[in-house]
Amino acid sequence: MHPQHSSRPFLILYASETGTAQDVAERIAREARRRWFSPTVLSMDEYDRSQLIDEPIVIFVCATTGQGAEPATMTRFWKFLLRKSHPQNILSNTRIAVFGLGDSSYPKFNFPAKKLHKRLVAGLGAQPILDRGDGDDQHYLGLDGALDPWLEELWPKVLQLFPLPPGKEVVSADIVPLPSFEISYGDDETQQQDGLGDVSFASMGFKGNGSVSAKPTAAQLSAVVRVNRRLTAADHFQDVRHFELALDPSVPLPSHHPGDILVVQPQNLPDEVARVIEHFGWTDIADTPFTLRPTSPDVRVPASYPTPLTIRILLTNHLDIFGRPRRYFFHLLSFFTTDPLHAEKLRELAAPQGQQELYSYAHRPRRTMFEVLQDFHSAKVPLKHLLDLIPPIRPRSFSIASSPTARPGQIDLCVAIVEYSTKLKAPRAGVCTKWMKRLKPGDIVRCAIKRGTLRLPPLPPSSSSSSSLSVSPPVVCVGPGTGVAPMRALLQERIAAGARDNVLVFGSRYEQADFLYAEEWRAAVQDGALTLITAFSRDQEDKIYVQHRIAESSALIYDAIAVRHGYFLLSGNASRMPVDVTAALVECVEREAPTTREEAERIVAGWEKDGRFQMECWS
Amino acid sequence: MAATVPSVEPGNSVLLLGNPVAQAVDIQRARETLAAQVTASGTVAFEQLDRVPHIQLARSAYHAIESGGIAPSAFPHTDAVLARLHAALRPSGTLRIREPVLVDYAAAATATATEALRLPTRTAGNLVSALKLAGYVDVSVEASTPLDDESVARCVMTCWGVTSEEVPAVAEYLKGKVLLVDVTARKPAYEVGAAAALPFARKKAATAPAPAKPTKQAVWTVSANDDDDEDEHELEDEDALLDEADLMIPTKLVPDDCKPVGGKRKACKDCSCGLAELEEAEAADEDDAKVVVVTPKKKVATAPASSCGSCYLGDAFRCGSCPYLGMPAFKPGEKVVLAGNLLKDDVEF
Repeated sequence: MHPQHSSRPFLILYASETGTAQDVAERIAREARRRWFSPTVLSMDEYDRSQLIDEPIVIFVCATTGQGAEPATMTRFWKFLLRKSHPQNILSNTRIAVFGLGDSSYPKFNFPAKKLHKRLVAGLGAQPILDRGDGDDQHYLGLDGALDPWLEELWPKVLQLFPLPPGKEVVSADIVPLPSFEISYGDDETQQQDGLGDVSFASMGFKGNGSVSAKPTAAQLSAVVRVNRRLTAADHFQDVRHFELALDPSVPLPSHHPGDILVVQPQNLPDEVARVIEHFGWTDIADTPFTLRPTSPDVRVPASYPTPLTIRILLTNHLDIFGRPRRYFFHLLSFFTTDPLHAEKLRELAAPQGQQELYSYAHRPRRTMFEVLQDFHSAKVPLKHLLDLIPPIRPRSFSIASSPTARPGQIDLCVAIVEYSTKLKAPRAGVCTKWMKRLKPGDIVRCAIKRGTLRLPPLPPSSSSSSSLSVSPPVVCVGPGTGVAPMRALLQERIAAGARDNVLVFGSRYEQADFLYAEEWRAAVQDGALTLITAFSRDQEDKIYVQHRIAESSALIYDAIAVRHGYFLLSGNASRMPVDVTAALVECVEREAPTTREEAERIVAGWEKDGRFQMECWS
Repeated sequence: MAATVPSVEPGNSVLLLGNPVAQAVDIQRARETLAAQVTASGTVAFEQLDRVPHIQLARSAYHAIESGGIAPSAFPHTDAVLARLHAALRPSGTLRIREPVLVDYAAAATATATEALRLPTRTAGNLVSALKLAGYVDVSVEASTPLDDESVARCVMTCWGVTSEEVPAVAEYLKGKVLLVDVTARKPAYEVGAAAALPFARKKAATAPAPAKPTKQAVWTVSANDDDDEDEHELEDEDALLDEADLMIPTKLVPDDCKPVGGKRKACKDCSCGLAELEEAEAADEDDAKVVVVTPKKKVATAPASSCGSCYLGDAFRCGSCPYLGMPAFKPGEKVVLAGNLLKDDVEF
């Protein structure tokens, strides 16, 4: 699967969910190339694992997904490594290093990377070059906060083990690196590096200025927007939208489940893209088709890029120019600024000593890459280098808020539009949600469906709406704010199947302003299919949250979960809320059993292990 | 100047280096002497020292190389030359050179050489180091003779490329500072790039095949090519892999001096602000739409007070009290307006 070993092979295996781990792997490859290695970068599911014991050095870059699970592309490889049949020292000739990407607001922080490192070293005898690195989104510098020092430690150790070839030095990071791609206009050999020159492609039948959508990959779906409706009151500060998307009925779908997740591929807004094109002076060539050619064997054109490409398509669908810059962005940009003042400042911001300043300038105010380009307006970035400067737009995940049984062929979403202010005069807006906010019926959304982690108890075999007997155990759903989205899917599914013993605990700020799907819940209550408990934090003097209502309703909850073996499901914002809700549940058990606090905690932990207490929270 | 000491054996292949100032008759005599030593079964090759950097010498060809023995022995061997001679020698081959060196480091520090200006610039110690760095072993200074003033003067005039106006000064300076040394050195017995098993080496995949490795390889390959249908294979409990230490959550994630307002700012390049000015500037913040900054240094009456004149460069250059904080960079003289969609407040409050 991988190219023949050169004299300095360097394998980097990544397991990426949204592409960030791949990004990190590619950075490591760049740095390896500067040290005269021949890096091979592969996703763990692309790698021929029979080669592993012959690898002298392997770097693993491992993302975390869901509540602490490994990315789907890693699972097979991981299960293989876990086999008991492997001799304990089988990887003793291989030197390894593991870097994990995670978020410490989740309790299972970086679990896949931690387990991988343990298994490789303690279980399979691999020799670690250095300690595992734990990237953390919660660090004030994001991943770079851990990655930069880890790489600084890695390279000297690598060069000790695999010294530079005689006569060679580490290629300076201070020279412009080779771009990953060359731009090729037209069929003939003439290369127009900066996109100048006129080529007419009417004969190719290509219509410029269109929203040419990307070639769908195997998992990619196209959904059509049917509804985009604001759920929160017009005068409420937060804009929460209800979307209804229709899946193409002619495309065979794998059946999806309630609680599943829609992975949405965002786009940049056309007027903003036009402004970027104007900034670079590319207006005349924005719709001229070109193809990309990788400049080295370990670089590949991403599968999602259509051929041919245009600048407009690239900036609209693929490049995250309104995203937040990482350190490498500042470093690379410094090569293209003609103003020495700018170059100096960019170098400072990219240097390890400049991290405080970088935080203050870029991270804290959430400055976008385009805003940085506008500040450092002397930068003239050639198109081919832009592809290395701006990373791809990452997909965003949203819980599907509709049941496939109750609403076949339809996907509902409940999305809070990300809008806030920092000290920057221009208000901040989330890349994905600012686009979603503007979606109109008929617009296409490129997406994929991913399995969620919440599982319902087994449902009654056939739905008979006349029967009020529910064979299925009760379910208590706690979904404050947009956490109610997967709960809506689960409850719709249960009610459609005749399971009517349901409790919803919902919390938000104001009953009148952001009580999401209020009419639906009230109708279900009328219908006898739902017990509704609400907590509106700002409707009274004291803040009342879902955890308070849970503690107040201890009898009901204890009966449902402990006595009648029901499920307790929680979804919503990570950080404090899951901790507080768990504590409230423990309090219920303590009071109603009755028993000691320690015993109650043990019981609740047991429910978690059995899958009757489930949490799906995100940060 | 003595003749070279014989060091070659019959049947050897030898390289003799001459110099650009030597007399033909001296060269001829040196060649004949060597030829007699190597006898008919050996060979004597000849090159000029100053040509060595520009020609291709045969690799690993000579049992011995001799240079500097032909009068005048006035020419230093540069690092580049030493390296090329090293390549031309066979393993265990001998190098014998005679060259002028300087008497001490002080003299060495002031002398510089170029290709045309062939002054000696090294002490004997430097020369020994240079030979070692070039890969020679058993470097030994056999003899060291001070050069008398007349000889120094002659070298300055004829051998070292010193321009005629400089000759008197250079000759005067170098009087008593030049020594002539005879140095021998050897090329190591191994060739660069050769491999030999070290007696204590552990079994490594690339070199000696270890007895255990074929088994490992076989076991791994069989496993790797197995079907993945899980139930066949017993797996380790992955949750059991983690211990207390692994479950720790990092805590220090935000810089200590992160304050809610302002934060730590670097002063801009020619900031001259005092505290009173800071207060004033903040108060004038609201009127930025009307502002025109004419030049960095002049203060326009309607403009908010700029303390340092770096405002137009953008947030990365602005000081903490800048009235333009949060706005994009602009060109001095430009009217500062929030462009395009920023004017339209698309946040519904």
